[in-house]
Amino acid sequence: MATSSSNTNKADHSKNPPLTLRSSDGKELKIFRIVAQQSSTIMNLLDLEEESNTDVIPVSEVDGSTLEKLIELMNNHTEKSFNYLGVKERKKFYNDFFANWKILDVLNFGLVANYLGVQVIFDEACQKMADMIKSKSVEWVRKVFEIKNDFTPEEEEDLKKENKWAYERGDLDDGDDAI
Amino acid sequence: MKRSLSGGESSSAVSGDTENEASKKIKQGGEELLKETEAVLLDENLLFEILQRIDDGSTLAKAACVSRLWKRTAQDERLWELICTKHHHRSPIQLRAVVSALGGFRSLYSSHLWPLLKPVSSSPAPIAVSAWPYHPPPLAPARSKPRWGKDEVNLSLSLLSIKYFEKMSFNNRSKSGN
Repeated sequence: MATSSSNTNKADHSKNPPLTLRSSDGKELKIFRIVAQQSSTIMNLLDLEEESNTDVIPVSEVDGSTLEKLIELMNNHTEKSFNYLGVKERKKFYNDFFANWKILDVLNFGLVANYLGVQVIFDEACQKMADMIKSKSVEWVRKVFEIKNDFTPEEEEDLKKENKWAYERGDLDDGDDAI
Repeated sequence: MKRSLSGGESSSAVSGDTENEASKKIKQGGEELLKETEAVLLDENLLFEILQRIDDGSTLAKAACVSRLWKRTAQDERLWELICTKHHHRSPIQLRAVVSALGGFRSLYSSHLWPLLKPVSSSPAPIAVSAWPYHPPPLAPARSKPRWGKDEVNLSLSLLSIKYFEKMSFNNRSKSGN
């Protein structure tokens, strides 16, 4: 049921049936065309699909639950009220969306947004990660990102000395935000 | 490459209830591989995007201490230029040329901007940053967000160039005995 893609106006949903995306683990999710426009990748995949006349667009790089969350966010973006949000409200919106997420999940989400070409969501995921590491200790960052410390003890000493000024204020309580 | 929402040992609460049996199997099988690949996923470019959005210098400096990849990325001059000039944008190309010649933005920040931005201690001693001695001591705790503008950057630039020229003339003197 491939609809012609020539109409670019904001068509009402009754005329344009939603697209179906299939995730890597076989989940099928619906997304309206107007919402899908935020993703350059989906638009490209759509062009390919129209030639072969199938209903479902495979998104093989993304698993079902991430895709579902992403579509949810993209739906929010297309709501009229969203565009009228002020800076603070937008900030609060994304904070609420990402509340209690583990940082690796945010990372994964950002990578998926990047893959699907949804720049706004990619930016917000990066911003969230930047906010999360602010004022946290080096050990905390290594822990939550699962990064191996590949410095020699001497290198680490030198670095600490060079950046001594940065440690003056001390770190926020690392206690919460376990992996 | 299949990616799943759960990174590391524990499945996150977000994906927990929406999994079905098939995806669980895939996840368990691939989790070992995932652990390795997720660390690799954070490459220099993505890391740059994240560090670009940090707005305070101490976090950026500490980021350089995390690992070699992070050090390479966090010491990128472009990031430090953003931090130094974020409250004041004026002829960035000229500024960049001068600062690069004098040792770079990272050096500018750590030696000169940072000391200006240090939070006010609780003692009633006069505050170095505020110009007027008659400025009433702040009643609220002085942990407000530091802001710096043209004046602070210019002052730091002056100090940086003085330091640079001092080094230069010292070298000259020892050579030619002028």
